[in-house]
Amino acid sequence: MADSEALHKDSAAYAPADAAQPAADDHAVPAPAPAYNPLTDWGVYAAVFCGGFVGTLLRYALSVALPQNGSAGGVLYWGTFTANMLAAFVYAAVAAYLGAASWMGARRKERTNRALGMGLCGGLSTMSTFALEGFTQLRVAQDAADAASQSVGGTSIVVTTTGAGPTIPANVAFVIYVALTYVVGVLLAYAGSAVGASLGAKAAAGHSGPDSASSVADAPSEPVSAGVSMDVGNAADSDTSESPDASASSDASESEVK
Amino acid sequence: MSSFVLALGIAALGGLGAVTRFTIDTQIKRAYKAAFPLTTLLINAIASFLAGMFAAMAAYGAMGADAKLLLATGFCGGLSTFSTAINEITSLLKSERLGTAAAYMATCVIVPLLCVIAGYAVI
Repeated sequence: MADSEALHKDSAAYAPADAAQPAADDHAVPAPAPAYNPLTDWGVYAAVFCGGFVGTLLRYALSVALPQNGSAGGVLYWGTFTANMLAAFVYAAVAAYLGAASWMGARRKERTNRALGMGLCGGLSTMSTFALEGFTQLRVAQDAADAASQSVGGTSIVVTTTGAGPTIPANVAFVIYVALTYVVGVLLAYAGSAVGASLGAKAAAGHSGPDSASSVADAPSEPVSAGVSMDVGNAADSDTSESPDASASSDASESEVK
Repeated sequence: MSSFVLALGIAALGGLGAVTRFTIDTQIKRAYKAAFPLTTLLINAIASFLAGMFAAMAAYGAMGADAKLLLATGFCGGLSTFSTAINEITSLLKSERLGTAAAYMATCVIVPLLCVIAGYAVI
């Protein structure tokens, strides 16, 4: 959690000038810095495009190289599954790493985070293809059930013709595919953020000496600030840089922003 | 279309999808601070609906295989994201909001699927 909170403490100085903010927060906002609107930062667009390009290319390559027969006797669409799992891990690792990257400027961090997180991982992962595949599995299962109920003495075990005898029916495959995708995905996200945080802490120690490493190590013990829902959202996504709640947190890390 | 050019096209449309997602997500989050995590859900819903439409068009012969790859695998694949959704779920779990995490995960499973079905049915 602290990984991404640290990222947003750095970004607190980049609150948009035109965002509507309640008066109560004004006292906590630091001295006005140039309002950073990522939507007008053309470098971010380019970075996100390049990340998305590479991620989509990788996903397409995986879908061609690995079996995608989740509705035809296989269980998983291995190409999509691999791409999604990889993206879940990398996204968490990048967010955690950047959260601990106290030597980087906020703008560079923001751009890197968006390029790798939103761009690469967003292109590498896909929800639409996953949903389409699930839908295909359900349709195949429905068609098989219809066919079975029309045949004389229809059985309840669906035999798909892959030549090797009874295989996993598509409705069972659907449940396994969806369950595995989410369970393994969440586990990999936990693993990714642990790996990213530890790599980031080591890199921070390398950049600035032992003091940096200990302050990064202290970060997890900071309490989640008042706007819990906001920080949770930003902690997950690390995409927004304008949360007013970040400015209300302790400023231990802000002093390290270069 | 050669497979190399096709792959580049898919990748480029994926990049465009990612930029579209970034734009929508950032714009909504700038306007509504409490938008977490619904922007991802909204974007995934749109992408899934489009993907359902494209799949139906391809199934009924109104769209070639290459075009379907470009639009569904490329653009919709880049527009939608699984990694952001998973990390939002993980973040909710880490902050012990288990009920919200479970509810969000359920909607992530159900909503895109419903959107695909709706998109498919519209054609």
